[in-house]
Amino acid sequence: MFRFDMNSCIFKININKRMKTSYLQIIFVLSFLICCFTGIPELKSQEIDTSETQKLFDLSLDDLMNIEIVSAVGKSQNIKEAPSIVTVITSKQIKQRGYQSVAEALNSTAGIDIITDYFQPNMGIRGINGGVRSWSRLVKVMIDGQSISLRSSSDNFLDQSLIPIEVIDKIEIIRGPNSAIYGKNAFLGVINIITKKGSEETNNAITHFAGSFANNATYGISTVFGGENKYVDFLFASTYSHYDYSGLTPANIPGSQIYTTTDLTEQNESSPFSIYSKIHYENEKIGEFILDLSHQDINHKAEFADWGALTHHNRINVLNAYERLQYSKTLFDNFDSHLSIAHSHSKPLNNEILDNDNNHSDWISREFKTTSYEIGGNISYNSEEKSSFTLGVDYTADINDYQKYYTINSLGDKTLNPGGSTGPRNFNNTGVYLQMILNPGSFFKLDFLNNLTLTAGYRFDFHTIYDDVLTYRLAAVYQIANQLSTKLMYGTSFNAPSPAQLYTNAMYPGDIIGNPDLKPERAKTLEWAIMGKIIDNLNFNTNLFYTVIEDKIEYLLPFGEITNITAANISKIYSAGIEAEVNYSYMNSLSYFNYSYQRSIIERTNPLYGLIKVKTALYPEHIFKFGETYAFPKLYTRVHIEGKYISSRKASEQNSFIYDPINYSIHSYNLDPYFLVGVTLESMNLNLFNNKESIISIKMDNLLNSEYNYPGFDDYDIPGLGRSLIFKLTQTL
Amino acid sequence: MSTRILLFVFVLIGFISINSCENLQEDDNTRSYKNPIKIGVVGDITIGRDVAENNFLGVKLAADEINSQGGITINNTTHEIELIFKNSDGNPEVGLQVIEEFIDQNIHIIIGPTISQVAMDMAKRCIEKNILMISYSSTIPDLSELIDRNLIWRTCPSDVFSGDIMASYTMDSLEITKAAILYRDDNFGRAMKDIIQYKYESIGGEIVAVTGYPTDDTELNLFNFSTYLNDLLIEKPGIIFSAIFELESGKITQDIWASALYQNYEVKPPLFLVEGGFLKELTTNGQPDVVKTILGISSSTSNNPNYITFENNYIEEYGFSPTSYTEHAYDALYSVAYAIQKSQSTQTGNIAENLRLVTGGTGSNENAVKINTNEFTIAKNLLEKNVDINYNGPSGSIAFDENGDPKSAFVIWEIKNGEYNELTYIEKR
Repeated sequence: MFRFDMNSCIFKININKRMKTSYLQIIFVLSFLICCFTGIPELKSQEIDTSETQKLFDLSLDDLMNIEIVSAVGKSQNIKEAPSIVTVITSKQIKQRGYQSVAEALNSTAGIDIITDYFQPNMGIRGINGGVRSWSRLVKVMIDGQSISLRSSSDNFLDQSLIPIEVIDKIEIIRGPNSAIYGKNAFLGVINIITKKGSEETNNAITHFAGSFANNATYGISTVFGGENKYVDFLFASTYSHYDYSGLTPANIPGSQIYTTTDLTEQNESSPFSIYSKIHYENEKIGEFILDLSHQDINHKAEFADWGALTHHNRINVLNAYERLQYSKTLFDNFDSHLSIAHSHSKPLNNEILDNDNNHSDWISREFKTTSYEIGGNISYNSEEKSSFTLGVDYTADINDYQKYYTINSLGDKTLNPGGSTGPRNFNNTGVYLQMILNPGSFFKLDFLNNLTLTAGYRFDFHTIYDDVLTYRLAAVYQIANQLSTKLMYGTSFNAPSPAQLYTNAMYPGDIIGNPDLKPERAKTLEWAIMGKIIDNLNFNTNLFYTVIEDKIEYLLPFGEITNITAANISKIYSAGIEAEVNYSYMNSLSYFNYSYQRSIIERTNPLYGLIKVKTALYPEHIFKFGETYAFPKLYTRVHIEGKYISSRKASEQNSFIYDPINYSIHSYNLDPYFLVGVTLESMNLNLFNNKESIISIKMDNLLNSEYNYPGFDDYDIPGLGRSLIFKLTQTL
Repeated sequence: MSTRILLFVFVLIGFISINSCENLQEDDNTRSYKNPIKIGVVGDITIGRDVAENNFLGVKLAADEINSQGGITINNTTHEIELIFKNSDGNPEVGLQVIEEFIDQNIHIIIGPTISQVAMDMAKRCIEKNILMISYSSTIPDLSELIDRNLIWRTCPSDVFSGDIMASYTMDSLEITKAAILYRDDNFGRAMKDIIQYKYESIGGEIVAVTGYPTDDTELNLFNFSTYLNDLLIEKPGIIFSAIFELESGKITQDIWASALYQNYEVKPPLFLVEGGFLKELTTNGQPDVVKTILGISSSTSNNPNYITFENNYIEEYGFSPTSYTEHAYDALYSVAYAIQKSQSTQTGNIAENLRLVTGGTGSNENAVKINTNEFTIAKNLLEKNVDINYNGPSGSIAFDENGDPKSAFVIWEIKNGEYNELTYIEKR
């Protein structure tokens, strides 16, 4: 077992916890200063040919610094000028690093922490995690601008069922608010998956993989086909994977001995399946049409379900899909227009079984169904190269059959479980937004302001269930020097209560029930960023953020008159942090390092203690991630090493209650810090059949077989996976 | 070079800002107490969370009220009450461990625990260790029988009284002559079953079936009660006395509704619940058609003006209503506080000597000044002038008897249209 415990090193010199934290910060600052003032000049003194790196990786640091993104303002923009904190992961990086899912890719970036229960990854961002039964619902996840959350719960499924990873051109990751353009749920971040065009030469490929996860066989297959003729470009991709997380033992919380080594997950299989398809038609006279569809089949056993661990019976199987037609046209010289119509639907499939005990004569079924119709459009006036005005309107109608749990007895009789409420079936939202991007230098002919870009955006959301919401943002981006720019941003955002949070009944007595009085969560965020190059082969992107969240929805443990866990707007969160990303190229290698430090305090009233302020649960204070890709052209091989250090984190409130039922609000236990490292070997320029590239890769995660745990939500924490191995073969056609 | 300086300043500003921002500092709101009188408060959070937590809050409300009005004055020195809360986990062994922890903290007054299963063992240990224990919800009759040197008290009535009333009400008012009993197979449940059975049969009723379900190592909110319920239902009782806790009450209503035997009844037998904080559990997780037939008994009687005042204070402080026994927990602290004020001592023997005297109990002055809820300052002034008081709290008249039991008042309740509805009030001594 390998453990890297930064805190314990400091503990040995007998200093208190607060001082330990300070020491850790001092160490970081000193390291940073040493790097700035000593290490980098050393590196600079070596004359480096960055063009060689570009040739080898088909990607240079300049590419990364000047990449075009669309997510920050809803239209194409250079990343340096975008009024947001953006990290981009390109398809090339996805391939070279061996990422199997969007979750894996996201987990390499600063300010993001992903935990799992082996049903779904659960993404936390900037010190905050959605907690129990909340899978990545603090951010808006989109495919080319189309939200793909499960409408019933606002959860985002980031595993292989999200989208075939082969069709991803890049993932644009915005940390910070973006409701001023995307409306609800662009709360603490936006993940926008940009898909490839069918004409890209890397398309038309079949990928197989096989290997071992938790000593169980895993395998999968993906296909991607694309092409184009004069006006039409098409793309079709599908992926199916099979994982088995059997043989894992829940980790007892301190002081508990509920689980022994004989308590193991059984047949804990995941079989995610997804299809993505896109047809693109473009004609200068007529305009551009894009028809795309996404089909997600979320199909997982859930041995670490919070409602029943190791029942060997829980299977969650949900369909989530959309079809969309987009039309874009340049109307006059400076006017662009865009129209989008989408239909999405989601529901549990027949395979789904929920069970909270090991007596399988009776079980629980879940019903919900959401059908959504969305129509939206915008018109932009581009007055200058860097100045534009956009007016947009969108309308969404969600028709909900609310989530309901039924008990199925041994005779197959079905009884509706009690609890919860009902409300109107239709959730209708009308959003109107206005955005101005202005380069005052050129707009007002003021040369001294040429390097300044201002962005202002306002959006009104009129919703039939919860209050109307106004969100806005103001940003200034200033290019200080050729390779250095800074951004100052302030924005507000909101996260709408989901239909399940509002109205669900209980799976069993004591289970989570809806609260029809929920209000949207609201956030205000101030960000300051600096990005640029220190030397030719090293770029950086660092930012400070300060976020205040009002009316944060927490799953309130039973208290007072409340007998069931209930969602409630009960807390306020203050979160601040610093995120630093560095990309570095040197000869045959391309590296990244990122570090996130955050301090998040949740303020809430506990009847026993009054108003208390404690650290948020589930999220580590320090995260350090790194990766290095090294090419060996003579050996036709590329090696990628990737690692992450996750500092200790507070356990879930549910588990803290078991640990200390009276003082759990102020007295929690912490999960140990851990360090993980993995390695990927990939072939380069290998042509096995018909002069078409064959890519062979071997990926080993948790190389050191470190033991670690993710936070759990019942009476256990969730064990991390040991060493795993994937062997992958991609044959282009 | 300038880029590096800029970065240095940026990072430095970041770390300084984050670590100096007041909003980003932890604060668990702990306060200090002036010359504290430490009192241990014990509850079985793990077994009946909402009841135990509300009981804690009842005690806390009382302590906060007393402290905000200047605390207790002993020999011209002001003392504030500091509460130390502990969980006895529904487990007698944990209860005994909690006593040891209190002794280590030099605490000799304990309010609690919640459940009878734990109370008996804790009471015996308290007697050994000369600790004064005053329970707010342990209703087991055996607690009255202990040779306790006046160290064991309670502000809730004994099951002897509530069991008697349940049996009598069923025979006399409901005119049901055949009944069954469903009970928790623990100290509390078995005692309650015996009381009801004895009384009911002694007044001519017939207990046609009795069944107890296990309580150890079982998540009772998920337990399958079907077999136990069918054992009762097959004997066609007219009513089912239910010595159960709120935790499992919702599930029991679901399981009885799912029973084919129950559905075959033309007139469905109601469940008659013993004391407990059932209301929210039943209205949230109970089967609605079963819930509307339920009857229950409670010693929280809202026909008492002091209860109304207390309830309003409680809601204002915490934002939700008290549950069963909360007022008994509140009264437990006030009784102890007045006894300390009167005796001018925190010695357990001195407090015990005065508990009856300040509550209108056995041997007290019949002409003592009646003290109601919200009258701590008045009572304190009277006690400082050696005027006798008779504290009447939200539980009503406490009037501890020679066994340390209070005067008992009960209400029979039902749930009508989803709301709690009181049917009739009964007093018993």
